[in-house]
Amino acid sequence: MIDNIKVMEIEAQGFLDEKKYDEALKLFSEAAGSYQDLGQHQQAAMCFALAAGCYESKAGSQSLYYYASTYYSKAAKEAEISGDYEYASMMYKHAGICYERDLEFVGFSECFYLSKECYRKSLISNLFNRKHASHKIPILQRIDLKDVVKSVILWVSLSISSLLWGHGERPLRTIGSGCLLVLFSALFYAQGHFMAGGDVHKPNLLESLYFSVVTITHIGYGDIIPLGFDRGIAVLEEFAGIFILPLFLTSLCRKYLRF
Amino acid sequence: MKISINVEDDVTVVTLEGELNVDDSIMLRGAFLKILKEGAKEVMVDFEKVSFVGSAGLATLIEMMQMLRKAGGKLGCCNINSNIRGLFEITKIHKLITIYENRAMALRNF
Repeated sequence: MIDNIKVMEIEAQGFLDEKKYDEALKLFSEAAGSYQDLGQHQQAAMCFALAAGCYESKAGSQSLYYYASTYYSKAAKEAEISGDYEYASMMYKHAGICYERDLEFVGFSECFYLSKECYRKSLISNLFNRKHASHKIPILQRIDLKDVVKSVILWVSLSISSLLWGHGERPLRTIGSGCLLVLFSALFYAQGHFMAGGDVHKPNLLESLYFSVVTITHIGYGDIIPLGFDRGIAVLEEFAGIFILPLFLTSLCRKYLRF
Repeated sequence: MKISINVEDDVTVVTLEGELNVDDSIMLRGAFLKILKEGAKEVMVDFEKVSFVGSAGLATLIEMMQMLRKAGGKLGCCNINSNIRGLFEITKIHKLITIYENRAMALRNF
């Protein structure tokens, strides 16, 4: 089977050199399928990328970017299976670019999100995955503290971005995080004391929820004053609200204004 | 495929000759692991006498680049003919690996 694939690839590259893209992409797709059957996902990723490149080269004025993006996505998935997240991220990015050229914004949005997620995974796999280090490179030779710190900071910021708004493509996640923040803050408020109309009392959960919503949305009626550690929670909640509301609006506009 | 390794100006130069196919990629990977174990950090692959690079070869190059990066080094390629350069561009590998026109330029700028 390997020999067949070898012949297929040689023929495909011959067609590519002659700019016979239809024939080349057919052979590259077949070779990719064969590699998939053999479980050699990195090679399959390369063949899918080559097929995508054939479509992209062929596209020109024709509307073939959609097909190119489909093959870039396949290449990305294969690279992801093989654990090569950096290449997968790059393939998703190119799939996204092709989708955008074809005015297919749902695909663009998904690929943009997946590209960021793969990049995030690549940062952590570069630090901890020892699959490629099985040949025992001396540990001091492998570790560069500056790179490690840079990767960790980038990974943390991308993880927060993923959780909070799905890199700008998941507005519902922002609502979810906002709701969780309101709920957890309310639970904290319920443990402390409020002052309302000159009367100090321990609030029930409903009153805490009301105060929490009023705080995160910056309405601030002033009918309830938090006391003790509740003041600190209120400040933190208000501070988080400064970011959560604009994030929600931005991701919502970013996602839906494209259509 | 023939693989020869020599060190020039602290850069380990891997010269390939023939086709870089499935079996040859395994050979290249083996040679690369050996030089990595010996402590090589800057590796240059010379493609002057390479007539064909298959998907397995491309995958091996990416793997080599990642392993070197983890070891704090870098990988470069030089003397790539226009057909192979086209493959690098289609698969976007040229964005991951630095490509130099020729060996002298590569060694000067590495």
